[in-house]
Amino acid sequence: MLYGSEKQQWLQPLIATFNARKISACDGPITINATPIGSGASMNRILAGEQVDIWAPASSWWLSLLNEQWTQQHPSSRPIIGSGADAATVLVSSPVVIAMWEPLARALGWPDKAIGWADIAALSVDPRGWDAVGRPDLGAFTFAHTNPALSNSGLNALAAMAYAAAGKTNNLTCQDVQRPAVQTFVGNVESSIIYYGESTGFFADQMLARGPSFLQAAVLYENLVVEANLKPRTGASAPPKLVAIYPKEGTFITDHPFVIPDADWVTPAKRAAAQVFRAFLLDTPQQRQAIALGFRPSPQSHVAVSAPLDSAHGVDPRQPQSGLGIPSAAVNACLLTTWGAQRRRVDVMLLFDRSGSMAGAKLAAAKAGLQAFLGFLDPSDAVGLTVFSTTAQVISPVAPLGPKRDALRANIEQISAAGQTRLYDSIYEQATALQQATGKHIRALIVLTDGEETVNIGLWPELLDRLRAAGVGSGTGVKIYTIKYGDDARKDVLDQIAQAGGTGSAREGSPADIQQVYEEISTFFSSPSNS
Amino acid sequence: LVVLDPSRWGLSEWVTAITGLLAVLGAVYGCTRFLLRNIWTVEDRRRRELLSAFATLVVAGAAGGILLEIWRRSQPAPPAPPTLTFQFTYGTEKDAWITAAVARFHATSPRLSNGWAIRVALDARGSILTADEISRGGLDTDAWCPASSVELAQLRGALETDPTHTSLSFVSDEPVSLATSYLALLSLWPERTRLLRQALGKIDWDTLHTAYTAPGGWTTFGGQASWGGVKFGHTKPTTSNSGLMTLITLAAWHARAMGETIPPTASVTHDPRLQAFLWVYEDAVRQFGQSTGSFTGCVLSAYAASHDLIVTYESDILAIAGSHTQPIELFYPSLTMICDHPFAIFARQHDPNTALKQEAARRFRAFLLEDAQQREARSYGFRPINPALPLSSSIPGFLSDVASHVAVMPPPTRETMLALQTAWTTRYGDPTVSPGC
Repeated sequence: MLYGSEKQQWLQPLIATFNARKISACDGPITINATPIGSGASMNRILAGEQVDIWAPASSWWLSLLNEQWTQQHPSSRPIIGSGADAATVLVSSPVVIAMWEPLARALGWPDKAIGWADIAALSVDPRGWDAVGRPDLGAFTFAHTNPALSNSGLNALAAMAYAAAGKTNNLTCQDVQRPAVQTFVGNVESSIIYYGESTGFFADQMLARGPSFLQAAVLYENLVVEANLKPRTGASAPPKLVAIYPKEGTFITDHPFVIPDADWVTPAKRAAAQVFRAFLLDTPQQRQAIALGFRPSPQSHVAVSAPLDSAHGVDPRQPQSGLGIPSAAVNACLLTTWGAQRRRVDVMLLFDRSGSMAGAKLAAAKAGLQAFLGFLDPSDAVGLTVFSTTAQVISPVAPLGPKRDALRANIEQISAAGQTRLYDSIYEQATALQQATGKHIRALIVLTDGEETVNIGLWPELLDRLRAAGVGSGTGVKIYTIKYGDDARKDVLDQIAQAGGTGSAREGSPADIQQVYEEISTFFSSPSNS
Repeated sequence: LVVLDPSRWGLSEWVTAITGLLAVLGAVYGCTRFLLRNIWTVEDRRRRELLSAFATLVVAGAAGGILLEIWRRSQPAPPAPPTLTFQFTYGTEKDAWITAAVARFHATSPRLSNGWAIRVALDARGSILTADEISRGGLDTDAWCPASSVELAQLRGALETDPTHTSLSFVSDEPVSLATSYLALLSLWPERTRLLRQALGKIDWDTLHTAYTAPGGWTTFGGQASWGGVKFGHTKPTTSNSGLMTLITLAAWHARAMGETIPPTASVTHDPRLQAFLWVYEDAVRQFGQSTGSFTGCVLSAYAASHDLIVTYESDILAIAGSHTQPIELFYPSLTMICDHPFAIFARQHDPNTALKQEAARRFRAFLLEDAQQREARSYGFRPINPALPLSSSIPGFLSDVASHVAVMPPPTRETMLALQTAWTTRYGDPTVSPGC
C-alpha cells in the first residue's frame, strides 16, 4: 500500500492495530505493508512499475492523472483505476487552506474580512511588505507551498491561483493558464515562496517548530492546522495559534480516495483483503480517531463532524463556502508546464567535502550525485561550487547555470580527495556570502561531508549563533541543507546546522543512494521538467 | 439407536417392550393398592380398587404417549418441496427497501402453484449500466426493476436494434410500477436560494439558467463573494439514471421553449442552440457524481462547498432528511421526470424453469404492492402506488400533491438518449468524480 504522507499519523497506528488482529479474508491473516509518500511521488512509482495493491493519495485528482499516463504507457490495457462505484472510496476529507499565524491573519482583516489569493499575490509583491497593512514589524511576506509536481497541495495551490487570476471558479482551461495576466498573478505569489518541497506535513512541522520569523503562511490541509494547534505550547517564545484561511475565491477538498487498482497483480484474495481493510478504516472508531486528528469523516461512515474541528483549533467546519471545479488532466499538465517558468528561481551553492577520507568510490558516487543535481535545475537557476578540505576553494561562484553547465560538470569531475575537514568556517563563509546576494531568488546552501570538523573545532557551537545572527534560516534567509555522507560524519552536528538553516534535519546518504538524496533536496526549488 | 427407534424393532423387541410395560403397570397397581391400604388408610375396598385402577391407567396412558411420540419422531420427515430461486435485479436507489422487503417475503414461506418454495436472489445495480449489460449479453436475470422507464426504453430499443446478444425477452404483461419518485432539486444552502427567489421569482430551469450565466455569481443576487459562482450538480449522465434524466429534462425544456415537440427527438440534440443551452448548466457543475444511490448523502456530508443546487430523486432527499442537521430545501421544477420503478419480467430462452420463475416474480411483485409493503416503501421516501397512502414530509418545499404543480415528461427514444450522452461525452469526456459518490 502506498498512501499520502499527510495521513501517516492516522494510518500508521491503525495499520499496526489491524495487522495485530490477524484478520483473515481468503487465504490467511491479512498483513498490510504500507509506505507513506507524497501523492505525485507514489503515482510515479506506480507508473515506474511498482505493483501496488492499495493506493490512497491525498485527492482523487491523481486518479485521472494516473489513468491518463497509464493508458499512454499501456495503450492496449484498460485504465488502472476502474470507473465503478466501488473503484474508489473516500476515507476522510480535508479542505485545502492557507494556514497563517493568527496575529498575521488578523492584520489582513481576518476573520471579518474574506481573504483570498488576490490578497496573497498583492502582499507578495508589495515592496512595503507587511507595512502595507500597518505591520512594518513583520517585514517581508514569506509563503510556501509544496512542489506541485510531487505533492497534491502544491498542485491544488497552483490551480486555485490560476482560477483566482482568471476570475473563474470552474472549467479552467489551458488557454486560461497561459494568459499573461494569469501567469503574472501566479508569478507574483511565487515570488514570496521561501522554498518548495515534497511533503505538506513538512511545512506544518517547520512552521510550528520555528514560528512566524521562519514562515508566515503556507498552503496546508485543514487537518494539519488542527494538528498543529493540538500540540501543547509553553513559554513566552511559543508560536501563536495557526488559523485556516479558506480562500474567498474558492478552494478544493482533498478526498483521500482508497483505491484498489484494476490490475492483474491484484488477485481476488488481495482484493478481498483490501476490502476488509477498507471496511476497518471506515468503521466508527477509526473515523473518530481521524476526527481527533483534524480530518473530516468519510461520507460513507455517517460519523458527524465534531471537536477538534472548531474555531478553538483554528478551523471552521462551515467552510469552505465555495468549491472549485476539478481541472482535467490536460489542464493539470499545462499548470505544471507553466509553473516551470513561474516558480521562484534559486541561488544555490554546493559545498562539497573533498577531504582525504572521501577518496575512492565515495568520491566518485558523490560527484555523480552532484552531476545528477545539476540535471534537476533550470538554466536560469544560479549555481556555485565550493570544495573544502584543509582550506576552502570556490571553484565556481554562484551564477546562472545555463552558460556554464558544461564547465561546471568538468569542474566536478576534476575534484580530488586530500587534506582535512574545514567544515564550520566553510559553511559560515558561504552562508553569509549567499545572504549578501541581491535579488529575490531562493537562497540555498547544500553541504555534503563525510567527517567531523578537524580545523576549527572551537567554532562550535558559536557557529549556530553566528548563523542565526546573520538571519540564516529565517524568512527569506539562506536555507542550509546538510548531507551526512557515510558513517563518520556527526549526525547531531549536521542536524543542528540544518535546523539553524531552516531545513529540519540532516539528510543521510551513502555512495549507493547519494543521487536520490540530492534529488530529494532538489524538490525544494526545482521544476520537474528539468529532471 | 435400535433400542430408541421402534421403527427398527423386531418381534423380540416388541414382546420385551409389551411384557415390560405390563410388568410396570402391574407394579403400579400393586404399589398403589399397598399405599392406599397402609399409608393413606382408605378403608373402603371398592374405592381402593377404583383409585388403583385409575392410577394404573394414568401411567399406562403416559407410557403409551411417550412410546407413540418416540415412534412418530423416528419416522422419516415428508420430503420438502423443491425450491425455485429467481434472480431479481434492481436499481441501487431501492436497496434498503428491497432488501428488507425480501426478508419479509421469505418469512411468509411463499410457494408457487405447484407447491415449490420461492426464493429471491437479489442483485442491486446501477440502472443505466444494467440496460447495457443485458443488451450485450453480459447479464441474465429473471426480473428487473430499474429506477425508471427510461432504462426500460433503452433496453427495449437496444433489443429491437440487435436482439442477438441475449437470450432474454420481455414477457407479454406490461411492467408494473412499484412506487414513484420525482426528479427534484435540492438546495444545500437555503439562504442562497432565498436570494435567487427574491431576485428571479422562483427556482426553475429558466431562472437557474439566468443564475448560471450571471457574471458576478452570487454577488449578482446579493450574495457574498465567498460563495463564488452559482453551482449546479448531478451524477454523470453516461453512468447514472438521474444524470441522464437531468439532461433529458433540460433538452425537453429547451425544445418546448423553441416550440418543438417533447420528448425531444434525436435530431434536435445536434442543434447548436440546444447544446449551448445545456452547457450553461453543465459548465456550472464542479464535480459530477458517480451513482445516484450515494450522491445525495455524499454531497451533503462532504462536498457541499462544490454544490448549491443538485438534481436528485425526491426519495433520496426524503430518506436522508431525518438524519441531516443542516438546513436544506426541496424544489420541484415545473417540467420534470418521474422515476416509476417499473417491475419487468423476462423470459429466458434456454432456461427450462423460466415459466415458473415468471410466476415467482409475479408473486413477489404482488407482495411488494401490498399495502404493508407500500407503507414500508413510503418510509424510505418513495410515493406508494396506492393514492390512499399519501407521502408526507416536514422538509421545506415538499409537496404531497406535486402532480398538480408540475408537468411530467415521458422518456424519449433510445436514440435521443444516446445522442444526448454522446454530445455530453464529446464535451466533458470522462471527468473525475468524487470517489464513492
